[in-house]
Amino acid sequence: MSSRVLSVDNARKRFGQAVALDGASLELQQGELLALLGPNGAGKTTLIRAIAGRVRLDGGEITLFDRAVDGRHTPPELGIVPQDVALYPLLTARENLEVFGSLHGLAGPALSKQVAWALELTALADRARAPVKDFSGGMRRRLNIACGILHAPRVVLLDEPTVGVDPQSRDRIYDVLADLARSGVSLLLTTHHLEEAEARCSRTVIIDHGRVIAAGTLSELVEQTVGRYRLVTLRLDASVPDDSAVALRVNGEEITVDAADARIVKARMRDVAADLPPLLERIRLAGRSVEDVEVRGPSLQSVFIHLTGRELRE
Amino acid sequence: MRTLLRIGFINLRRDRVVLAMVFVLPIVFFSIFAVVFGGQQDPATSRIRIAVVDEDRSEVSARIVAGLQNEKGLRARTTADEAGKQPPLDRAAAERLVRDGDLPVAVVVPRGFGGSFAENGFAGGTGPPIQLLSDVSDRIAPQVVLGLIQKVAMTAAPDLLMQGGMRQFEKYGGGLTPQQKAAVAEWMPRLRPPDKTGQASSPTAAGLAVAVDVVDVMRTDNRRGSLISFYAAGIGVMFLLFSAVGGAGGVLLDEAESGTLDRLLSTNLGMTGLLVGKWILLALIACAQLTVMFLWGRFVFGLPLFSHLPGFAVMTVATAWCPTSTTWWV
Repeated sequence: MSSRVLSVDNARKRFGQAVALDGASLELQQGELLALLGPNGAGKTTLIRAIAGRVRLDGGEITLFDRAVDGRHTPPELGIVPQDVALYPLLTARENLEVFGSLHGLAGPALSKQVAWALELTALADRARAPVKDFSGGMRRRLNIACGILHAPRVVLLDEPTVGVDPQSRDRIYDVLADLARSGVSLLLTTHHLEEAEARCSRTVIIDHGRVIAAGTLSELVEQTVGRYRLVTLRLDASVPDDSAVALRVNGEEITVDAADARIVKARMRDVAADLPPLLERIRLAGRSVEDVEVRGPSLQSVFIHLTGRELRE
Repeated sequence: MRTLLRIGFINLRRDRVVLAMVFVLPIVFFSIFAVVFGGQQDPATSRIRIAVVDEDRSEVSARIVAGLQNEKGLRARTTADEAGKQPPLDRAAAERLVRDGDLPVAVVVPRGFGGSFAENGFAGGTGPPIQLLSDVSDRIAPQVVLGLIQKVAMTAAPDLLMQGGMRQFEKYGGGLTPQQKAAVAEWMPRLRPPDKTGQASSPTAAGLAVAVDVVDVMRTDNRRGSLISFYAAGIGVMFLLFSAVGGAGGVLLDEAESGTLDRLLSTNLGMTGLLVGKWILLALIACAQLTVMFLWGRFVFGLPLFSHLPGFAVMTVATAWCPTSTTWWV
């Protein structure tokens, strides 16, 4: 049974005239991998910094294990993985880990043990003695995470931990995070990689204009926003005849013809097995044949765009 | 070229830290040196402090000692303490004061000086000269004191100088007639120093001198090295003032730019711990820099380092900690 480890309640923060947080609230459960999504400038980093005790809120409350975060000190139960690669490039991987481990109060055999564990977990054991300046972007990101989890925190905040790395490194990083979550560590991460959040995170919180506008599992978010429709895309051998467009309807939902390519039609279907065959039959009657069919379920991308719009931010 | 200048000016205008380093730092430095050198306007601190040892105990030596004590450019002491309550200084004690750096110069009027002075006047003859014990690396104080001794000798005992001179004239040029002796006797009182009413003495002849030997109490065999040693501490302080303040300015900027500042502040370290740690690091580096600088001076320029290790240690520690403390306000 999961239990709440972190709670943000009505967090408010202004920087001059700019409102960074406008009553944001969320909860993080034990062993959960929670994605915090939002457009640029939505308030994600401010919220992360407030939880980390690096920003004092103007209003609201943040509690970690039922103790208030004061905004002046980082609680020892927290591990921070900043967006920037916060490492000393002239130090080796092991030296970086030893430095930050020491600053977190580790020493002696405990420090050595944790350094070995972090190197193993992030697949950097064979490069432990190499200076960080010689590392690839993916290796630096993994070491960046290792430095944040070295002191075995019970909650880890990760600010875009996979930005700028290749798919292999991203997979490896999420494997590490999944291992941590399985061991009972709670993780809150921000990312712009929606497909990763969809695939790897147990729950998602979407924040915009400093407020949480949706929260839940992917299916919950879909139900709350775009609904359980499947998007069916058909590519025909020729353009759809103008006089048949009205006839091409599915359960009253109008089929849309792609503006750039009149051979492509799209339809939203709640029950693909029931709705698709009649559509295919009508296309045949209209004298067209279907060259390709794609059925796509609702994605986090569609939910995100539905909630935050297509307008550019910042 | 215009584009580069534009980039530079925009960056300068928008980076407040750089802006402060460029325009506030010169003001700070100017203020520091203005306070340091402005303090020398105080007459009490601008006077040269000297020790005077009267081994002769003659009328001439007493007049010279009194003349040096009355000299406005000097703060002369004849006793071990400045208040004049302890016993008179002897040569060894005066030399020690100079060697220890307490005073730049000590004047010793040797036994027999007065007799020779009275006998031979300006020429000095074969009598013992006044001795100026000094650290010759100080190029200013001994020269000033040397000149003032001449002045004091002329103004403190011109009559005695003239008497000695007349004796020399009679010895080598033949005796004076009674009328000449009477004329000299009538003129001689005009050479006496001013009395307590402040009456001015008569002008003395120019170009006359008493014999003075300058003795280097540091006994350096390398005058250039001695001069360098005099300025070495100043060079060190100036170097650290510039390098340490610059280092302190960048101490947190580097961490912020590398992204490690937030990570450090999220540990048990905290801002105070971070600043203390950086301060200690900068101070240790400053100590190492001074040590390297002085070792180089020792082996290349003959700086007398090893004979002054305790002083070097005190100077190094104090000099290293003070400028690096700017970490706290930068």
